[in-house]
Amino acid sequence: MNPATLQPIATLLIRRVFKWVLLCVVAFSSIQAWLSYTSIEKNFNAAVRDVADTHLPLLSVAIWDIEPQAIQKQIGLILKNTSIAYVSVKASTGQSFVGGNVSLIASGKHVAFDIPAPVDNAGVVGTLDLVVDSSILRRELIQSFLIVTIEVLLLVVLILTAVVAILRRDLERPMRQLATYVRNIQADQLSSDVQLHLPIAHAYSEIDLVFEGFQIMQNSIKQHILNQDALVMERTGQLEKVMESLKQLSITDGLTECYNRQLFNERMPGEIQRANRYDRTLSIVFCDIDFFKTVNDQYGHSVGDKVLVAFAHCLKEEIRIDVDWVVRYGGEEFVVVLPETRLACAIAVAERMRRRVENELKVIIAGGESLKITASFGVAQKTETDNIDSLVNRADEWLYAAKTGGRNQVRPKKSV
Amino acid sequence: MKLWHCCRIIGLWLILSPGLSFGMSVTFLNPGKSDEVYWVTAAHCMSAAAHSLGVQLEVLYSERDHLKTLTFAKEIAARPVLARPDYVILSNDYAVGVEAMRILDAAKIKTFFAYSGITDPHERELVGGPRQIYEGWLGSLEPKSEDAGYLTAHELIQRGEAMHLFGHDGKLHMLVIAGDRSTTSSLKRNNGMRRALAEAQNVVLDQEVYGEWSRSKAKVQSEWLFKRYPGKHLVWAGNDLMAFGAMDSWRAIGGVPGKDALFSGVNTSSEALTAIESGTMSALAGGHFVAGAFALVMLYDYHHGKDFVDEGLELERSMFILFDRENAQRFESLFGKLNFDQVDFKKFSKIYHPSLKKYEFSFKQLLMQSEKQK
Repeated sequence: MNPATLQPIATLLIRRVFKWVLLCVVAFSSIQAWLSYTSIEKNFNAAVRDVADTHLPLLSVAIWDIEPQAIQKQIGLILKNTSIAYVSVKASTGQSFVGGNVSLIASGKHVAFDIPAPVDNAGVVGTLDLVVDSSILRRELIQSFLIVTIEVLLLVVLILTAVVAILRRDLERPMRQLATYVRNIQADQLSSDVQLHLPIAHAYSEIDLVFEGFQIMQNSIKQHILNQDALVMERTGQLEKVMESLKQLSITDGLTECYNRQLFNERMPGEIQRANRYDRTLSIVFCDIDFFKTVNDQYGHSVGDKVLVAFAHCLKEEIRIDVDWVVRYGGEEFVVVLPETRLACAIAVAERMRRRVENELKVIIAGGESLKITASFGVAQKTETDNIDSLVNRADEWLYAAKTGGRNQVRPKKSV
Repeated sequence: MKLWHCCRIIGLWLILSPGLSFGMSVTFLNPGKSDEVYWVTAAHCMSAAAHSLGVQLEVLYSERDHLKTLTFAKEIAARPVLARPDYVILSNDYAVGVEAMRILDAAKIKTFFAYSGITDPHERELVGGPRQIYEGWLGSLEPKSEDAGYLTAHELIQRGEAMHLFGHDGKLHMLVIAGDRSTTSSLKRNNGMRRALAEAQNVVLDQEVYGEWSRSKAKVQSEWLFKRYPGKHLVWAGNDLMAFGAMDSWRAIGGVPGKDALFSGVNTSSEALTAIESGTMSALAGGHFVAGAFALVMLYDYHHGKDFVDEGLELERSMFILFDRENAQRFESLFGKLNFDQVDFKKFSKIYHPSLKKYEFSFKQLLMQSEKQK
């Protein structure tokens, strides 16, 4: 994110507007000043003209009748007009009368009038020189300029203050609240509600639109997350099932549903170790179906498979669930692992298995005939020095002894 | 102070007048200043008349303050009955006479206008004639002021013609410095001046200004006028002081009064008479100050049962004379010290001279009468 300093819109707006306002103030004031200057000057000239028009006839008579006091009195009356700073009356006969503020003669504007004689054909009896106090004109001008400037500025300040107040209340504050909330929001707090402290008499504005949009977004994200959770759970369950079955597949023989040789290799060391550590007994039974090769050859592989399935079933019927386990060791060879079992008991289990196979294992072959199957068992109990191989070898030796002893039997016959 | 001064004068009169009759007392509200030659002359002349007629006279000077005339009138009206004068002589100067007369009439004090009467139509409407609306207003005696204007203007023109003071247009040019715009005698003098102008064919009136009877104002105004109208001039002035003001400014620009410009005036001040003798002033009319004294004569006769009603209640008599060197010298020698005691005013009274059918109130009479006495 750009780390630029925050510039509130209100400030930006005010700054821009203020620039324009200053421009406008200067423009308006100038126009106003020019207008008032022309009108004031016009009035001013008219006023001076009025003064002259009023007093010229009287002055004319006073000069004609040679009434110096009356002339001086007229000058006094003219000077009552504040815009006139200095009056000088010069008679054609050379006499002059003055009145007013001498210091303003140089700076003031001079307006001269001829004083006509009150009688016809006597020409001019003198001149009236009025010195107009131009500082009054200037003062009026500055005054009107200042008034306009102050008016416009006051108006602008009022409007801007109102605008700023409204922007603050209705835009900046809610925006900041929203921004603060959004910044601090956590993924797991998406569901928490936004609380905007809006003014009481608040009209429905863009802020509400943004706020509503945000709420809609929040809700949809919330909904989306919930859906995602459910989906993940479902998928995970499915995956677990698949994994389970995969695992089952990897440790189970596909045909007989007994454990396979791989599982035996993985699990057996643990069994041996446990037996050794806790000084427990462990026995295994090595089984092999008698004349299986003949069955395969004679009745085909499908019958052979059925025999294998039925045989495994018989073995499973005789073991303790969750304690003992059956492994298809290879071809028609099976190993039954019996933890916590002494040799004698193992022999007894093997004997029950043999009997069950002999009595109950029936495979219907073509022509409705049932096939008679037997199996041979070699039993071995783990000794203190045994490892897997030695134990399996000893059981295999006893199986071999049972084979050679006539098949369909368990060896050793009794624990030695 | 002034009042106190007046009272002292009256006191003196009471002590100094032998055989003084307490029967008749007159107060004169003098509109002029107590140091103004004309009005002082008038008062002295009246005093002489009062003395010779045995009338008790009180003179109050308003010092040319118009409102003071009214103050005096109120003061007189407020006096206890015994202290009130029988008659008050007023001059309607600056048009305050009517108001003063009303005040006095309300107090049942009889009044008489001397020097200036009622001429303004508006005033006339208010007061009517004597003894009509205001019964105490007995009448008036005015010098024929027009005569003063006419005599001086006429003389001025004749002198100008004789001295060939014509302008480039071949005409005589006259400048007029009149008195004021409101006093009756001022307006009448102007009328007389205009009449003389109208009679003369070759005189141009360049301009007429009002100098308010003042020497200094006339001096300023004449300065302007001489610049406005360059050339030779006849200068007619409403009184002697204004004529002197104009002479001053004429001299200031290098002129010689009586040679390249002629001046005329009215009044019998010693300066004016001297100017006539020396020739700097070309025409002077005067003598009308006797109006007050003659008014006293009329009131004396009225008081003693000889009413002047048969001659008219508002009399206007020609009192002015035009002074020449001779007249002037005579006046100076007779009345130069403003002492009119040698004049016997009884001579003008119908009580003393029942054969007298008509009052002969001319200054000439005074001058002649004194001369004869001498």
